[in-house]
Amino acid sequence: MREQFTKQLTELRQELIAIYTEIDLNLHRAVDSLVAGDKQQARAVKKATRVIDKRCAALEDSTYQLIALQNPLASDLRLLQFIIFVNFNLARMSNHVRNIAKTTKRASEKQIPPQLLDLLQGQANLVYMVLSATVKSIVENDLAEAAELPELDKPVNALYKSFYKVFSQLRTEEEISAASRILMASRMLERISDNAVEVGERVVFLLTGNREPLDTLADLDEEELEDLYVGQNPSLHKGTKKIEKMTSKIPEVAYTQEVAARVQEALKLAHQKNPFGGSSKKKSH
Amino acid sequence: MTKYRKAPKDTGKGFSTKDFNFWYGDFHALTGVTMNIAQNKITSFIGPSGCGKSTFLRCMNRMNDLIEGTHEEGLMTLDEQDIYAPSVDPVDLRRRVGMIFQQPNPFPKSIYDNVAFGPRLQGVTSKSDLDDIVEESLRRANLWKEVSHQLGKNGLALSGGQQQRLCIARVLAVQPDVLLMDEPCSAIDPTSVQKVEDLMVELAPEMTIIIVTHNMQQAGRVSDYMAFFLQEKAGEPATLIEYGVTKDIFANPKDQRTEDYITGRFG
Repeated sequence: MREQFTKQLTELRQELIAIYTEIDLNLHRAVDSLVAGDKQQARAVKKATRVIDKRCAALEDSTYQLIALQNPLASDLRLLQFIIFVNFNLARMSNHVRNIAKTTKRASEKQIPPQLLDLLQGQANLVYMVLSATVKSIVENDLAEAAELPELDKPVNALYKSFYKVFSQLRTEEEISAASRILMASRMLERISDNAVEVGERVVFLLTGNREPLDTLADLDEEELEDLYVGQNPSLHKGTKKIEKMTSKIPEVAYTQEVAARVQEALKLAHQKNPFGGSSKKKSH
Repeated sequence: MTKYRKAPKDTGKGFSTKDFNFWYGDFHALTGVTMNIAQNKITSFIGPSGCGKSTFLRCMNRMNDLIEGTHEEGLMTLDEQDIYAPSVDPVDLRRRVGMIFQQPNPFPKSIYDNVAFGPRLQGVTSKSDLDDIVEESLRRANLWKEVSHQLGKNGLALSGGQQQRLCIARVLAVQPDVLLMDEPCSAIDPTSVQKVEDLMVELAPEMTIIIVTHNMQQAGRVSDYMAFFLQEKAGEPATLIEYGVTKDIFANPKDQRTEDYITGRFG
């Protein structure tokens, strides 16, 4: 029954996850380009995000068309609401990724303290983990995965705040000018992580029909979470092979001991009076 | 087991049923229906064909009494009075609980006589009183402006949508407490559907309205509460599956069968 509509919903969901995957991949490229000073890669990211924006606009149009033509209710309506909300957030995330890529060019003429780049890379790794957990919660319709997002997001925020601590220690105009670029990128990473957490909150709405804050779910055991699920849309379990193929492109990133050690080192330096004095190196872009 | 979603509580006013069952001869058509109908609100009954929603609706003014071999068990009360008690006069009950059918069924009489029919049966003879009742009823049915200049015209000469509103005016003329509507818009054009729906919403603050509809959007547009009935297997009795606030059931039904029905994936 309503097979055509179910197929249309499946395709919309696949497109949403495909866009999400593209944003995740381009975030990796944007951060890599900034850390490595690779302006060519940054340009490619900017171009890719413009394509993503167009896909977001097309997805929005298709979603509203289905609402107008199919009179959706219950899980159909929730899924379409979910797609509209997530799509809106993806468009914002795409914009943040583009801004990080833009920073590569702006930062290329500056002397970037390497410790700041270490901090940024550390923060990016944490954001990748938030993004991975979010997409997993969408793909696997997993409340437990969504419930973990606020905890994963906390260190992202903490690291973003630490950028300000570092910033306040800087003395020379050149250092401040260079660091302000990286601070902007850090801000974008922090926003992307927040956007992903908001997406996770909507996963809860999609699967339970209720707008439960993620924090309240974290205290529930497996059985209690299971009880929250309401009628599931058939399209949530269709087209899984294609989705798996798409999401398998996302690199698995962990906040390794090596990354953590470099972040700690950078933070330790931030507490010294002249944290980066004499250690800044001219980047050769 | 019925799932209740902020369903109305028993206030002792209006309709209430407890473990209500109904048979057509040997066929057990409805089983275990327990629900309270919210007063002065609109309640919609939904479900696939043969799920017992119209049967249940017709039980509420004992229209099924007219079918030979039917009987009921359980309790159905209106203002705490068992409507199937021997002391209850079905004709009096039907005055309090009016009914609108799928096909408009005006009498082959003038518009005026259609509306004045009930009050006359109740003993109203004064021409001026009848004039007032006819005008007020037609106004409440949003039909007065269209027919005030042709009250002598035969009711059957009106359009389908006008005929349905004439039938509503005829029911309103006897001042019912409850209005039962059995797919009232399925045989009329979209413009008339809109007028009937507007009329329902206007009337609801003054009377309880219960509507059987196959149109999910209509149920969503007009009803405050919704009841989903289902006969799971042919030959078995139908029952009430889920009942509660319409927007809750539309947004996140608790029962997978409700979910499947309202999303059109039933069967």
